[in-house]
Amino acid sequence: MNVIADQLDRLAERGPHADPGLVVARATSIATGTVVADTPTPEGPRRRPILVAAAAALIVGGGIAVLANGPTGNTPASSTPTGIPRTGTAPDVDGATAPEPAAVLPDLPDVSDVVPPTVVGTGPTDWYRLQPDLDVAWYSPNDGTSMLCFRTPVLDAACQPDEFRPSEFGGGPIGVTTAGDQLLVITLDPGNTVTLTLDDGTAVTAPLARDPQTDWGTARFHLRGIGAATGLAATYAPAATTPMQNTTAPAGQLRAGTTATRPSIVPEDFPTDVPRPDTFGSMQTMSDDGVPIGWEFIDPTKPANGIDRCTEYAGDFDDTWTSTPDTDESPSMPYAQILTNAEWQVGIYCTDLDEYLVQVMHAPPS
Amino acid sequence: MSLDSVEDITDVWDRVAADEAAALALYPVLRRFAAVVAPAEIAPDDLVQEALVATLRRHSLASLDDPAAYIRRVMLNLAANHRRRFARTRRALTRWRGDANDSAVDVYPSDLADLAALRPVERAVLFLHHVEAMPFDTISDCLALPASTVRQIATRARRQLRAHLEEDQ
Repeated sequence: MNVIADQLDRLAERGPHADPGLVVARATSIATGTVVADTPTPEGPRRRPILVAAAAALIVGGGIAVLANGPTGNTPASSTPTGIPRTGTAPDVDGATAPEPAAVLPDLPDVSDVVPPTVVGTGPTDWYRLQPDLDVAWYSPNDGTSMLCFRTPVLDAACQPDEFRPSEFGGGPIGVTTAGDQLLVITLDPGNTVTLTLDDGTAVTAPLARDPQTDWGTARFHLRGIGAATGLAATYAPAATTPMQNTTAPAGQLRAGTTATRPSIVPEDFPTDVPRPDTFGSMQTMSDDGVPIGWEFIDPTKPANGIDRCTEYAGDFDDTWTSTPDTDESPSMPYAQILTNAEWQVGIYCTDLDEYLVQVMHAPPS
Repeated sequence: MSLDSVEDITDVWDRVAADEAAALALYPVLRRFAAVVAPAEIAPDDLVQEALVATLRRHSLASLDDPAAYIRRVMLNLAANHRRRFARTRRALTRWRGDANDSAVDVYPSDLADLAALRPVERAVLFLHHVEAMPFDTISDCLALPASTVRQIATRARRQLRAHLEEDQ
């Protein structure tokens, strides 16, 4: 028995070892939805306490009362609390022009040319360059939620719970500060311009640059008083209240993300014509050496309840798909089915462990 | 999170600071447990962080009767999820490549390989009993499993390890 105890004791000390302070700081920041830097620095963890982040949100919220999309630029009255000190913001943007980026991000090895997949893990590992000075990333902490992260020349890696979605679905634009006192406003709403209304009633408008791959729009403003210390500004719209089901893609399309906030583009080598139910709470890619090889949908909140849901799901496929019982899965999966057409294979597994998952991958060569 | 006043912000900050202090105090214990139950592909500190995030999203540590036990259970569930996920990925890779190589992870010879082959809950029970010197009844409370189940898990796991040890000798 001493052998087992000795082995367990050695296993308990296995590395690598991280700084406990940094791990705890990250965990509390992610859990509370506040800003956290992802990489430690020689002088210690670079984290922004919730107090600073919240204060920043108030400052920016006080300076910017309303954010609206569209060419009309309607300017409702300010909804921000009164008595908040003004930040001295002043519009430098007018009409259809916008400032150039004051600084650009360097070439970084973790920036992907395609829309990054969600990554199973606790931090962003793949970034997408939305603007020369703005990288975005998504990741899933593997608990059914997802996080949205930003990186600019003045932000290290600022993450927040992913509630980014069009305003009509209860989301709204996100503001991210970048170099040169510039504010980048990112939105999924349609339109060609974004209008910011300051708390003195001044409205400033900037054109919306639409990213062709993600369909995310970015507007660039120069606002004095919004500097590096502000960090990630705030989400200017109410918290999302619309259930995910209302925002999923129609049958026949595969959305590349856990919510409608994800870009609709998936890597070129993946199927885009596979229907899926709108009840999945999580979606992740399966990767082999960093190369995506398949999709995995998981509903971690609803038990499979036998084969009923699988049968229902299988009914979504038309007669170009053939169904083959697949019984070589582990005993923890009471029902499994493989649906195949010429190109793609969809595996459906109802587990008895409160999981229901679908794998999508290339059909094996015949 | 809605922060309407400086008092709200201060309250939240106080709670976060208290949670951080509590988590740091528990960290050595949690980290050792994580190293035991986590699959080889998962760094123990990552599992601790993941469990802390999942816990703190729902509870303040001060509101839990036994936060160490609660976070251990979260880690155990997460470790089991990771293990299943890696298994699924390996099966998918097998289909993808069309070969019989079912291993997605490089395996190096180690006398801990037999332990790694056990389920996370089996390693957890053995670790708490043989290293942390917990009685089975305490482990039962800690992992929220019936005491008889805990004993069965320990017996089966020990039998499996002994068989491997005898084979090696």
